Amino acid sequence: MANVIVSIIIFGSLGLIAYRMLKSRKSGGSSCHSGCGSCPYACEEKPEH
Amino acid sequence: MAHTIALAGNPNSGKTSLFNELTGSSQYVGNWPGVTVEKKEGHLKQSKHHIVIDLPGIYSLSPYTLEEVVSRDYLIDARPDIIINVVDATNLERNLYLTTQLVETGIPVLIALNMIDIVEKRGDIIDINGLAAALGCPVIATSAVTGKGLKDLVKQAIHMVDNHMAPPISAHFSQETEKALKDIGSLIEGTVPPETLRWYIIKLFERDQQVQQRLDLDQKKIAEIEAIISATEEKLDDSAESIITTDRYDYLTAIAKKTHTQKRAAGSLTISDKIDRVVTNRFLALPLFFVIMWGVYYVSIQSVGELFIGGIEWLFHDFIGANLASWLLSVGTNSWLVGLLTDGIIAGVGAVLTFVPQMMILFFFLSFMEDCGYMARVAFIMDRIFRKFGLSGKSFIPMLIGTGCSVPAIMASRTIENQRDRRMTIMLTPFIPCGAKLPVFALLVGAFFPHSAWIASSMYLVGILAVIISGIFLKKTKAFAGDPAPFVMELPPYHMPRFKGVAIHMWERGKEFIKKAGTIIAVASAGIWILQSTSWSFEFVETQQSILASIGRFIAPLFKPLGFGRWEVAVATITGLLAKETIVATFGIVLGLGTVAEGDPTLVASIGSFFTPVSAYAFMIFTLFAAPCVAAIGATKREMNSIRWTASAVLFQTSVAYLAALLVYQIGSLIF
Repeated sequence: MANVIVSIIIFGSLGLIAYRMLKSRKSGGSSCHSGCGSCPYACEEKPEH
Repeated sequence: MAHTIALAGNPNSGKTSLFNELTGSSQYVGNWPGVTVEKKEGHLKQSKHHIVIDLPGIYSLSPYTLEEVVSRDYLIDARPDIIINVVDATNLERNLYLTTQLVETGIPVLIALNMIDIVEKRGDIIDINGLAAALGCPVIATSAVTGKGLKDLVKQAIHMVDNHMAPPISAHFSQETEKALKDIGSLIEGTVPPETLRWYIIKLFERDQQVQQRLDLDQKKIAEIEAIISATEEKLDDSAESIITTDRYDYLTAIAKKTHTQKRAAGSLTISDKIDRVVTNRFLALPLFFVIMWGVYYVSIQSVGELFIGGIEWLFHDFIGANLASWLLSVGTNSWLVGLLTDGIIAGVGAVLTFVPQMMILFFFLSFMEDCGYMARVAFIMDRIFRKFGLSGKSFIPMLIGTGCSVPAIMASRTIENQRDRRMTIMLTPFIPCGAKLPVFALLVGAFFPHSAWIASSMYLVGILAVIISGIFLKKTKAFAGDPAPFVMELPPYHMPRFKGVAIHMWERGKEFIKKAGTIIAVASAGIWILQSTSWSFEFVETQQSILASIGRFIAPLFKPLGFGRWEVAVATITGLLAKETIVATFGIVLGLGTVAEGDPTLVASIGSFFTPVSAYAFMIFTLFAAPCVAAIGATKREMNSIRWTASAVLFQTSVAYLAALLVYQIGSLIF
């Protein structure tokens, strides 16, 4: 049981992170690591940072 | 229906500060001109129905630069309900030059006479009511920094939008010019909306090619307009553009004379001028800059920054890692799942987060230098040096931004009009150490050079040196040959930054670093741990028999001449392509260190077998110059719009990295 719960938590979280990163990139979002608040360039479509 | 309020003004007049105050956002504010490259949008804090647009700083509505094109196209095509013209009150006459052009667009203008606090401090007096009467539009004295006048400004702006205020009166030119403008007007009347007629007439008189194309005039009309312009030029013995400029300044000088009283005698030096005599001195400027950068890196990485490392190491390794592992095992969790979580994800993320305090301190100093006005001087100093080697000082602005992250730095190169210079800047900007490379330097400096004060700071200086040497080399090639673009930059006056502003800058940069550790680094750490724990037949094996080890052994011989031929290091150079911090995460996982920090005997013992001090420095050099992370490569591709040029950039950067690391290791090994 512990294995199932821990697996769901770990792989679920990693999957969600990977999905959000890919989704953001596919939707034309920038893969910028600077963050909008510290960026002098305003993206036309606000990326999900 | 939402109403739009556009913020327009000269570079560094405080538009973005005002934008942040009006909308409650925290857009990047830099104390150098040209920080805003594209327009930004936000809702007025007081009303969701009013959208505020922050336009890039411009000196005129002539289409000379990208910023001017962006601002002008927006004003003419989108036609906001009103323009808040942010005027730097310390530079009244020059700032009002743009005002005279904004009023010609036929859009109601509200003037925010910004930086009024500095004017008052200097003892100067501006007759606000007199200025408003002369310009025919409301003027509100403001200070975006102290918040003075902002409530009145918002109130007035909403009032103007809701009551559809009439546009202000346009500047009146000399009799001859006005006659010519009237004649041109009669030729194009009816082809443009009446409220924009004056603007189009003046632009046609200035022979603005874009406006000519936009109006799509027939050849007969073009010839008639040209005849009017030529006749006026002959009469006034000047070019059309110059006639308009002179007339505008005559008009403004008369207004300024009536409304502006300066306490300081003309020609006397301000405090900023006096500081600049030292800071931008031909002989002192560069040594002073190097000393400052040395101090910044030394304090950030090797002294104050290190004080916090022990606590973070304890948090991740001894507290979270150890307790979580023992608890998970006690509840019957499989050991490989525990390994993935603690030795993979927590070890990798923890190794990177260990260096957050050092990054925060570095970002604090860089933000302080930027906000007080020193970084603008650095661009000016660098222009003097860069120019000698065929590079423009304009290239240094993206490089300043690159100290945070290469992605926006590469994007900021858009402002460079000359394509050759722009391409070269994109290729060379990643040579400036970004925040992500800092953990790699901090790790190796902590392990191999704990008592050397210059190693960490040398990365910044070596980066600039590489930019100059590469610039000299590239300028000799056909693809980049040519004179550097002229670089005109107004130096903002020095001021003591507000702690809040510097802290926000520091936090904005640091926050993204932490976020990155929780996303891409976490996923990469899990991947690296799986690859270093399994074989090609997907069985759990010892690290030495793992997939990661076999990949590492395959590529390691390439790095042997550079002094780091171990497979673990070779693998780290590859994982570093995901994000540079992954190099540290990789060491943390592969060495099984959990977290790493100076003075940790495990780190010194383990890393010590991978590097010698010379090869560690060669590795730092390689990391500094090698192809940036995938995000930066993606930005390069977007900005260059060419796979061939992107591949050339990556190849060039990696070649420089290899060659430089080779020289450092081979020569260093002979000496030390």
